[in-house]
Amino acid sequence: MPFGNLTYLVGLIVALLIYSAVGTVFRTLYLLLLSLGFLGYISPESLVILLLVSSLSYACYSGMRGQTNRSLWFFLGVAINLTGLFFFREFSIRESWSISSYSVEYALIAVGISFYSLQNLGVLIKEKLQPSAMTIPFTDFMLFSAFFPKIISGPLLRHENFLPQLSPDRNIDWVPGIQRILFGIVKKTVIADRLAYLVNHNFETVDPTGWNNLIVAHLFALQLYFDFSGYTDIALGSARLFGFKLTENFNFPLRATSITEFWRRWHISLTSWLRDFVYTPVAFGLRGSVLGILLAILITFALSGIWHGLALTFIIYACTHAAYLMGEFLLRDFRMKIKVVVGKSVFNLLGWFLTVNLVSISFLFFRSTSCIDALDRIGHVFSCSNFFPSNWKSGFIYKIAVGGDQQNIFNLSITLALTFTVLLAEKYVYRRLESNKIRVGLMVLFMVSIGLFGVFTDLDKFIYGQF
Amino acid sequence: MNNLIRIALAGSISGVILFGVEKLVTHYLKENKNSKTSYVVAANLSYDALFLGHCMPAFTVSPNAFDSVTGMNSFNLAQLEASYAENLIMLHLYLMNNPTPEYLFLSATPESFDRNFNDFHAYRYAQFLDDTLVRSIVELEDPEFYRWSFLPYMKFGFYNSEISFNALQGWKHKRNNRSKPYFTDGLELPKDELGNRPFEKLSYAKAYQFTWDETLAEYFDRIVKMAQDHGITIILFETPLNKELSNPDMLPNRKEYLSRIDSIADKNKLRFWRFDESELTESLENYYSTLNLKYPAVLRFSKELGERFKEEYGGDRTKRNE
Repeated sequence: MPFGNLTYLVGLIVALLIYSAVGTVFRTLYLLLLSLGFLGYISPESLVILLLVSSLSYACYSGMRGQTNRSLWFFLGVAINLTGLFFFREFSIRESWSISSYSVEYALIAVGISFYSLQNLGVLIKEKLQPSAMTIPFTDFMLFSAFFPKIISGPLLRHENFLPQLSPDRNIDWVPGIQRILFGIVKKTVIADRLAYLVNHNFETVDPTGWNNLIVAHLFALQLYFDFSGYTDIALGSARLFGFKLTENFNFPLRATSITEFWRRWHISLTSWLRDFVYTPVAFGLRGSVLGILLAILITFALSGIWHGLALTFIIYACTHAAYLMGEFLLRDFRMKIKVVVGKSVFNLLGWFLTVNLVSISFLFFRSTSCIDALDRIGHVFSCSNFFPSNWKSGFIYKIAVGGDQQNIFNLSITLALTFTVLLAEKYVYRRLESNKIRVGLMVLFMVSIGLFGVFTDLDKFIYGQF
Repeated sequence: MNNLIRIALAGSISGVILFGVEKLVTHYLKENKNSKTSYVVAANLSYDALFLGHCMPAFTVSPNAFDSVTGMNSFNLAQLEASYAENLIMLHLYLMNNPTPEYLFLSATPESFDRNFNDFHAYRYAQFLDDTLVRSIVELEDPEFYRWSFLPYMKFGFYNSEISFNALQGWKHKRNNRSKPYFTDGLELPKDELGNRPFEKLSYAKAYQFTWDETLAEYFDRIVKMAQDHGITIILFETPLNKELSNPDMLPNRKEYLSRIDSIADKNKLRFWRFDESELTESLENYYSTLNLKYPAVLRFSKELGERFKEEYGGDRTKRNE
């Protein structure tokens, strides 16, 4: 899939040069044609499906703008998007789903449908609840669906944020864009794909010690974060080149001190969509009672799991988080008391420790090929008898490093050092990336790191490319 | 300062840094005595016989044991999962930088003509991309790596996990003035580990069908021609395969592949030595993995190979030369 690799970057520069030459009036049309061309280049079938689903959605939206049969058009639009989402996506990935093998090449039938169908639903629901005075033009609606930087894995856009940016006088904002893209490539090639090597090997068999399974879970959490946030940086940076500021998807989630906070920081565009269109209406419908809130959490997360794919592992992963959140909600008074007793700093430190471990353990469901495999690993994590390896060198380090050679240990050390350096420095880096002045030192650091430590074989394969 | 100038500056500085690191890494990789490619290029070697092939000979032939029987001075140039393309490069580098050996023991097995067993590892030759033959083979065998290799440092950066440590080790070897590799005769078998490791399991799928690869066969022909052009006597050989595995139920087309190798040997007037009847093949006790012998068995086999060599070429080196 041409995203983030050399072909993509060269294409992006050419597209940007043409864009700056095109008159401001035609820029939206140019971006639409560019986006459709990009999708057609990745997968012609996906282009046909997008044109079909989004055109029909627009027809329903237009029907709703008429004053008669609004509900009928609404339900028809919802049915079209949900059918499209589940039929085409499940049809395309049923035989291919596997994070471990990155089998995205088999999942190219309905690229992006998980994202644009939810976007379309968002437009319809908003129109149903709060009809807008302005009608969205067809080209704007189609660009909203097909906009190329976010087509593969989001972020999920809201039309109320995106469409106002289509004004003809928007500026090309290429400096922060280019810096963001480069940082995304660092995250992907220097961190995520180096971690992927360790994670993939260690997931081949379930280790008998709890400690190893726990560490592997943490490594996968790091891999997933850097892979997805690296992709997001490339997507947001690409959009920024054309003057668009898309929704941020991450806000340093691995620094969260509670599960509630984690979900405010992780995959923000999806969780905020679910919050606004599922959780809030359900909780409100159940009058905000304790039971209503618990039910709303469960329904929201179950839908989130189903959105990831009709696999039991995803549904259990999502329900695990629902259980965490319910626990936090029910224990909120008790937690407050503990906070008063131990102090804010210690409370936050404990909260962070617990959150990071609980999230990583839940990712075992996300990553494992079956629930049995995941449960087996989790069983070992919570086993008291065989938690630590009897021999730390051969039982832990050599296994995590995928071998006991000096070279394996060296590579493991480099990977961990790079991971934690970026993890600690990313907040500082992001602040500087927003500058309108090219940061020469950072750019050099990025380019040299990619050259020295990057992994280039899976540059265009992203974990969330499969959803 | 204009942003475009800043980008150009950042690109130039990065390019210069990466170019500098590339020079440094090239230098230290060539100093790494544990890398067989660098070893044969850097050291002025004068071996009588070379063993060439993939992991089977790399882990199964002890030149020291062989030499103890034949009185020769030999070295094992075989490498883990190295295809004939790699063997060709290795022989080429050796012959370019050292006196011509008398004998070449070239491993020829059904596995060595099957891509599922042996592949090309471009990073082993990254420091020799200036060489025309190396470059042409790398271009054919790993085109993606080859395309990247024109960017500063990318010939090392593309497979940096395989390179960085070796460069550091090269720096250490240079600092310590090391002249010999860790595996002094090229047999890549850690003695302590192998003596104790029990047989794991047969890793072949039952009824595995070999797939003949014509490109590998072409590389094989080129190795033979290169060696013959230098007047080297070539002996094809297969290390002992345990009886359980050589059974037609396990490997149905093994016999057919061995016949093919026989034909190639006949066409080139080469000897093809097999050890199907060796006592070593009788028991899995002699093996630690499907294809590889334990250390004591390696010594026995290498001596057996030496005995066979003595039988066919004579025990006295001076007489052989006559």
